[in-house]
Amino acid sequence: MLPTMTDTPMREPTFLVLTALASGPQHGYAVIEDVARMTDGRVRLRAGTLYAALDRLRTDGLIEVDREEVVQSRLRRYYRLTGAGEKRLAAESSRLRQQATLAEGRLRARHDLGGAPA
Amino acid sequence: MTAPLEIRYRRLLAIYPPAHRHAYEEEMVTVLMEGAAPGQRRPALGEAVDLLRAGLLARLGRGAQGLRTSAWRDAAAVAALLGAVLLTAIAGRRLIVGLLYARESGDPMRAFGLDGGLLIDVAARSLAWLAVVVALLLAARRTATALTIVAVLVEIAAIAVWLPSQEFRAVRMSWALVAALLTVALLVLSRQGRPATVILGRRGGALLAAGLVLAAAGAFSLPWWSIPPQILGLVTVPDALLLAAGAMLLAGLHRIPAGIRRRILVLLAPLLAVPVAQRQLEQAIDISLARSVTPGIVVVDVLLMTGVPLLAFALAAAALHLRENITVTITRTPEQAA
Repeated sequence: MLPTMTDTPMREPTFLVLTALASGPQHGYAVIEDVARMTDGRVRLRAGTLYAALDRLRTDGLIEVDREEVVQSRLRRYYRLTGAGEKRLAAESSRLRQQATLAEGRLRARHDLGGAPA
Repeated sequence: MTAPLEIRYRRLLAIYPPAHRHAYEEEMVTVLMEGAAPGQRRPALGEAVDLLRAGLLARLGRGAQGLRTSAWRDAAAVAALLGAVLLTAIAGRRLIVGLLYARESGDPMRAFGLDGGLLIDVAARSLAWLAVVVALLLAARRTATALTIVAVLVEIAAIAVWLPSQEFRAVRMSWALVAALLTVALLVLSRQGRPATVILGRRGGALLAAGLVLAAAGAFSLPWWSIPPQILGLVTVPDALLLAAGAMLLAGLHRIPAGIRRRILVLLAPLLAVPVAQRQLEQAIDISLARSVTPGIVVVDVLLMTGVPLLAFALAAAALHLRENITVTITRTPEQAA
């Protein structure tokens, strides 16, 4: 059977975009800034990557347009998380947490057995 | 006045498909301009590469998405059936020519105690593709897919068994293998759509099946006549049967809605381009004088056998796009309108 959308692990830019929108509606540039802030500058999304993720998330119904405004003759479109997006982000967070817990447990056991490199 | 940087960003954004540009271009320009450094006149290299990469992927994605529509799936189902018919006819023709030769001159393999040995591979190919055609006509698509994979393996084996004695066998038979793989691709594309027989309808399917039976009867009657009888001195019986089969095939296809019929032609374009590619290949490498298969010949083979069908598909798809997107606008002057 083919994996469903919720089975497949989310790519990091997608996860970060959803996380940025979890705090409330944001426009494209604000998402880029928020992601950079959340990751201490490690991830700075470029426009091509951001809009590929936004387009996919909209198609999948995980985000939707909140409102549009024109600032200094330029269009700003705000996006917000949908109910499905909230569930998907929660599921992905849980998956990542489980993996992190598993890795931490194994590392602890490795240290307890004295298997750490000298 | 528009800033040079914005003009350059808009040029880069032209790589995206129109639907994506319509939905996002303005806000993407906003994001790009907000992210630009003061006094910046050209897009940064990383930004440009990212836009080109994402734009190309969006184009590929939309293209693949477009091919998954029901009209394309329906067209692929019929094109796969026709592909299998074509492959049956190709192998069947060789089988009949071989049978005629054996009747006239005797089987050269008889000297080695093996009667009919020269025709085992063509007979296997004919039977394998005929089985695919029958499965498709019976709408047994899983069986047809399994049989198509078997038929491709038979095609590969038919090349492999001759390789020790004929070094150029693989080069000469590239086209049959490519046509077989294209038929597999068409079957895969059609797997979630309707079966070909449903698309053709009862009458269309009956016409197509009758045409196939006539063509087969015409072909298999050939070895039994030393001089085929003529109808009114104009055309031989086997030729008349083939003409009737072609007419029935066209009549069967004509019953399909125009949108699907055009897509069938687009999907058949690469299949029909394969023999052209083979001819170009043999001319390019001068096959009658070439002594051995060099790496250069293999490269030319692969390039032509992928390039020509792809080019044929692209041209046919572009023609379809133009055909379906041309709108006629009639404008009237106020005097005419009055």
